Amino acid sequence: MLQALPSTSRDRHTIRFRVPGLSIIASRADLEVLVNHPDVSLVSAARDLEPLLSTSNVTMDTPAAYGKGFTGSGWNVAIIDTGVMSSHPFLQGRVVSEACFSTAIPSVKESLCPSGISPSFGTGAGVNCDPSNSTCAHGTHVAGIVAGQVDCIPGWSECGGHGIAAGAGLIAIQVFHRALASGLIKASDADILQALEHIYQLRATHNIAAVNLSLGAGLYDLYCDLLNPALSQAVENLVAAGIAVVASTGNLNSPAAIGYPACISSITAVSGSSGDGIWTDAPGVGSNNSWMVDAIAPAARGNGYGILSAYISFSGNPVYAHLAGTSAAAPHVSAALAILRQRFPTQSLPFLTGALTNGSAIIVDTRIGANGLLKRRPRLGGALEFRSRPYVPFGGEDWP
Amino acid sequence: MKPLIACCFAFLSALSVLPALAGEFVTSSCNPCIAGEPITLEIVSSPPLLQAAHFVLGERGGPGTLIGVGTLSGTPPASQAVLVISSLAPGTYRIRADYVAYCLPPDLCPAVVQQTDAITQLVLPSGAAAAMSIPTLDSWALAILALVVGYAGLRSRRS
Repeated sequence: MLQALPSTSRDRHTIRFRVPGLSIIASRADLEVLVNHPDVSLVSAARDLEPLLSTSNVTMDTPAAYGKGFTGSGWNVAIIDTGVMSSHPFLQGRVVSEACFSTAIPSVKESLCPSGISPSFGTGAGVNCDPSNSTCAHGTHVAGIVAGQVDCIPGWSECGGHGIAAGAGLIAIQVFHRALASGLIKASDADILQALEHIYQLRATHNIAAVNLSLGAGLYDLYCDLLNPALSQAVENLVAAGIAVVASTGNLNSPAAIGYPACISSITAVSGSSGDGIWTDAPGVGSNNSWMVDAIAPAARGNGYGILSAYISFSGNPVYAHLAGTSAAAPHVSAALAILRQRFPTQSLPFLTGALTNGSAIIVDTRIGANGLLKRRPRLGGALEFRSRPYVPFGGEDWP
Repeated sequence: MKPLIACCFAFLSALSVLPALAGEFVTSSCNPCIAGEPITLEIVSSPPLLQAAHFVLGERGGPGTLIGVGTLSGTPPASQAVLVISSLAPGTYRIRADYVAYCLPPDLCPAVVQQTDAITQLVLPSGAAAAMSIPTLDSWALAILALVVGYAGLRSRRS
């Protein structure tokens, strides 16, 4: 086939893949020959993937959704995290409800709810915790990936970097506390359980598409529903109400186990990609993956680059920053579910999660121990075209 | 008074740049350092919590370029990770550590790679400046010895 090229492109830079295909730097004349060649089924331009929301939007095929008017409008995503800076320019006008569940235990942990009062509800209750600790900016970064509003971020060269579901609303719930022994900002699953039950109550007054949990711990190679049956039940209640609970799988670079609570069977577990592979930045830091994973979404490009979204400086000012990890991957899927909910408001949750796989990209985990695990990264153009097939009982279908 | 006030404001500004989390900070074995000679980068965590750590060129919160993976001081949670490098060219660098915190239920952690603040201005002077600043007796001695050996060799061949 290369012999058919009229110029010397084939001598310049040709990379052959194990799959049927190759990469080539070609002249326009060469491209015309390749496009018309009987052995060539597709010619596509190579793209440099950048770790910004502008390219996340391309990866998730958000323009296809926005072009049809689907931005997540009318639906909300609950962010159970370190709180959200609702006054951040990236998030202005997006936060529709707030709460805080951060229970203090004397001499063990300190509540990080406003004024230390847990639970707290109403405007300001779900604000980010102590900005002098960088962990407290985490929830704002996650919220920006879901519903960020600014296309061209000041000081950054990229445009088109709005959140994946820029029309969606945010329910900001702060659940983190400060462990007094270590000073670390952590969350208790008892507080998360309260948050899940609060969201279950909110469904009466708010359209809620998804709950995002960009947090976790441990590694589990099997479903872990019995680790905290009450939490598992709270998740199942939400799922039964048509609200997806999305969780990140963690960043311990495991090819065969994921963190808790992502390992709960009814949770939509999200692992991370960088470019077109599983995110494996370097040993010890990369996406956890397993057969329990339901979807893949952008987590980073590697080499320390992450997803550019809203952030908070030590002095409490709104800024922007790159963060990497499955924390960034999960909100891509939560936002996609908000867009799908706008498209399919009355369909069941299994229909929506099925739609996520339609037209999706297939990502192969090439790590040792993954056994070539295949997972899907949603593309909204295909997902929005999803049509369910009518159920035909076994034996009732005419087989060819 | 004015210079004194300026001094104190500068000091306050430095104080406001705290480590990313209380107890995690990154240090270097030298500063300024010598290009081509080993530099030990270290992230220290007190209490021990490191699951994995990378050293990255870049500011906290911004993009970065991976320098290398730190070697943990023991089984996670580790208190320390170190990386020895010798490949930095002369220049001024800001280096942070990206790390995953060890975290087990019932406590849960954000599933994100945490970042420390960058080492402030890790300086590797240019070759000429470095040569000026380093005691060079040993290298001069070696050069003279080499010349002597060379001279002796030439003499022996002539004879």
